[in-house]
Amino acid sequence: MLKNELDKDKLLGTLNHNRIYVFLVIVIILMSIGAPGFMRSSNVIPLMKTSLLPILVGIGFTFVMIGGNFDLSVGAMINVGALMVMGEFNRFYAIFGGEPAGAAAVFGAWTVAFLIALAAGSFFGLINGLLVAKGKVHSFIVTIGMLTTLSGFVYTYSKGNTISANSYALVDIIEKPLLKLPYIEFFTMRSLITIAVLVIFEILLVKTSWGRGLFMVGSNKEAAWQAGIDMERKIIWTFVISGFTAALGGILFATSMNAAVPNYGERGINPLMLVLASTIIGGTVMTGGRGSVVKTAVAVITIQAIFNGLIGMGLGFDSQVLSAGVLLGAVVLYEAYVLYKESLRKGERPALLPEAEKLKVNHRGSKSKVSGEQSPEAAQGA
Amino acid sequence: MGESAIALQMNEVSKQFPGTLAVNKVSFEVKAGEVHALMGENGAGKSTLMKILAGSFADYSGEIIIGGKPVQLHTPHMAKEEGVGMVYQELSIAYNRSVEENMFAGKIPTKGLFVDQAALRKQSLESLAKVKLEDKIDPGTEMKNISQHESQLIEMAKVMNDNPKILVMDEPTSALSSEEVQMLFEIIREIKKEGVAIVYISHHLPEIFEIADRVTVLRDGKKIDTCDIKDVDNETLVEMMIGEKIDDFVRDCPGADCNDVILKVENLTHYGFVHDVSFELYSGEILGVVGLAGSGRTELGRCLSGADRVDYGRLVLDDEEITVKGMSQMLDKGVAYLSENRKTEGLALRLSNRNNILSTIIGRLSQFFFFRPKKGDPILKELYEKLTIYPHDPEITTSNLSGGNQQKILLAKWLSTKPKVLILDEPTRGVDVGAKKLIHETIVKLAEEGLSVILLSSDLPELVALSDRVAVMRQGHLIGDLTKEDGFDENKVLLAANGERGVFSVEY
Repeated sequence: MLKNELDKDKLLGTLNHNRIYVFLVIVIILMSIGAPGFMRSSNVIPLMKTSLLPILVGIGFTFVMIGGNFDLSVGAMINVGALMVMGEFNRFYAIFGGEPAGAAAVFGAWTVAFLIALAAGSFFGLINGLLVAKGKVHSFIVTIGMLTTLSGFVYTYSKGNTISANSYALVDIIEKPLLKLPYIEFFTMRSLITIAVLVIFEILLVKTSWGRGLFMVGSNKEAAWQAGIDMERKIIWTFVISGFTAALGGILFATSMNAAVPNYGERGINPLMLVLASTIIGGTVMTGGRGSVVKTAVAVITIQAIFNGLIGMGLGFDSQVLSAGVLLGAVVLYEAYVLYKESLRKGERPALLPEAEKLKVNHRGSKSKVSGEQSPEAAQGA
Repeated sequence: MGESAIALQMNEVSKQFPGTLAVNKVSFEVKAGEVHALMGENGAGKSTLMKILAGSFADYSGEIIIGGKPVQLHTPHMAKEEGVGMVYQELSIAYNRSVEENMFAGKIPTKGLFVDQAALRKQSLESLAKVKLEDKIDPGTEMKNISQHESQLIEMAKVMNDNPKILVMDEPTSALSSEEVQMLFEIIREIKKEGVAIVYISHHLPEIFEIADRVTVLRDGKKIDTCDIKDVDNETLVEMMIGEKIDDFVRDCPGADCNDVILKVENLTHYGFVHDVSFELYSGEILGVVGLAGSGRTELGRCLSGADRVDYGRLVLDDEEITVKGMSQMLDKGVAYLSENRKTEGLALRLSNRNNILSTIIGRLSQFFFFRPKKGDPILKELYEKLTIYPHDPEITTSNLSGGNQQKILLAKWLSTKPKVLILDEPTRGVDVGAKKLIHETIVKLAEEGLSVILLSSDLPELVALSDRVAVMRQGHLIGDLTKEDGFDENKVLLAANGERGVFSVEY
């Protein structure tokens, strides 16, 4: 009987780990019923495309959370990547000779701009990581500080203006569908890069000893330390990765629009909130130790599908935010409930459990607690 | 392996903590292939000695020789390198991760860039085979789904992966049932055959006689003696552990006339923690509760005070039938519980003494939603005098006080609620001798004034000196009590807590 219970627990656990796939299927079914045309290619492709940026940002965010921290600066990191790739392109395009220099200047300038913008994101991530791991400051404080600082930085950098690239060459490449077929049209350079990065980081997390070590650090710092894992370095790396992927998200987003603004995400749905909700709904444990970037990505798509479907049903922005909030709230409540249940059983003596089952039956039989009957003395010995 | 090969030798090892010499020139040796039991009461220095061996301190003095070679053990890493493996009482497990990842944390096999899953699985199964779990546990299972007993064995397998020459086990059986203990012993015997020197810390006498070859007893940081297990029996061991009466404080007169029952408990049950506990507590009585680690002593205190759920049972306090709902309700009814851990559960160290002491009666000191701290002044004054808390200034931050005075603040905090029944869980842990004596005197004084005290303590001299009656707990059950008329002393109490049968059949 106990054995069965354990199996049941295990099954429920597996289901909970993969809950995001169940969510996605349910959402697709509901939306297909409620919003006609939901599954049409013309609807699915924009839905997937809006998911690309949060998917990239979610990669780093998930890494940081698996290590037991939060990176609230990702929203600002997106803007750093977006503005710097545009600004640096224009600077180097001019240096390399501008339009007269032809394709070589475009290619050279974009390469340099990409590298600088990615380096900037990684660098700010490194500072986050150093302050959290070495400075022992809570990641909330560190990354909120970074968020504010970077907001100031991007406004200074852009002087508050929208920056557009002085060449349209890249947009044509990066946003051009590889095959002009329904659904398949989704595959552009940008979506392929996103998928590739996602796969690489999932492999890093699941298949390498580095990733396994990160899970240990997030799950039990003490145990990781005793096993000789350098946890400070791992935590620092998670923040570098987060800076890198958020900047990359910003870069790809800006190049696909050929423009970058310093206040992206300040109106509408905040990308930080979207990524935070996706990461948690996707099954990453808030205290660290469990998570998957692919599941975060699926969660991003799920939430976008809800948003999209609600619009298809004729509902507005307000209901989008509300639905994301309700879903996040439900998941967080469920996690808290599971933790509470576990805490109740902490310190339980397994040896007493068979007897507890017997007692429960007896006690139910005797009905009232206050019956005052003289029940037989406690069993002595075995 | 040579019968007499000495695996570990510690010569005149000492370790000083502020205020105490925790380990005082202890010399200790363990042979390869032997199980060496290390015994002593709480605070005798066993754990400190073993922590020195595990490399937890960089500032011990004395010489440690492992395998004939003098070594320095200043970090856990150095100790591991020298072949010291520790299985702690508190297991260090990442519950979210799988068995195999826990066992091979930090040394997961890789093939090129990636984890070699097949090799990991193979190695885990080999490692699990050492603790006879290879058929029972799938290495991919998450640790949270593994029972405590199996987790302990997995922890052992993990330590054995490093091929230690010396394996230290700190109270490995405190959470195990008797069959599980037998399984553990079988495994220990196997490991022993491989020539590993095993240090086994335990309070359970029957276990020591079953598994150990030799035994070393520590008391007050000093080594008393090392003996062959064949040369000693229960009584001699207990005598070695307890020694002469050091605590000169003896309570000669029992409190006020112990006739009125203040608290009557019937069949109190919290499933899986304490089962069917029944007892009566008289007014002005000090009832000691003795039990080994994991016997449900603390859990009983938590149930009575409303900190933990009560699933079944009847509680009559001062002729009033009570259904336990929670701590604040029990405080109102007059049951206060002084928790075991002063720093994490007892005190807000950054607040002032005043705020700490009055924290339990904020409601009672308030009028129309407004807190009137001035109303607390007489209470503070009374408690400061009663407990002779030093310095005599309630505005001082609690963290600035010595351990003993902090403990008094904690006592004052619960006394401010004017309880009828005071449950004390380890009231003198980590305080110096002087403060201990003062706290003892205070407890006796309170009892004489009519307060009923339930004393949960693993400090046997304290328990014996203070209690009018001692209730014995074992494996979640209260199995009986020893009264002053029966005459109890430390030996009897310890043997009763250890026994396999009833309270009075202490010989086995």
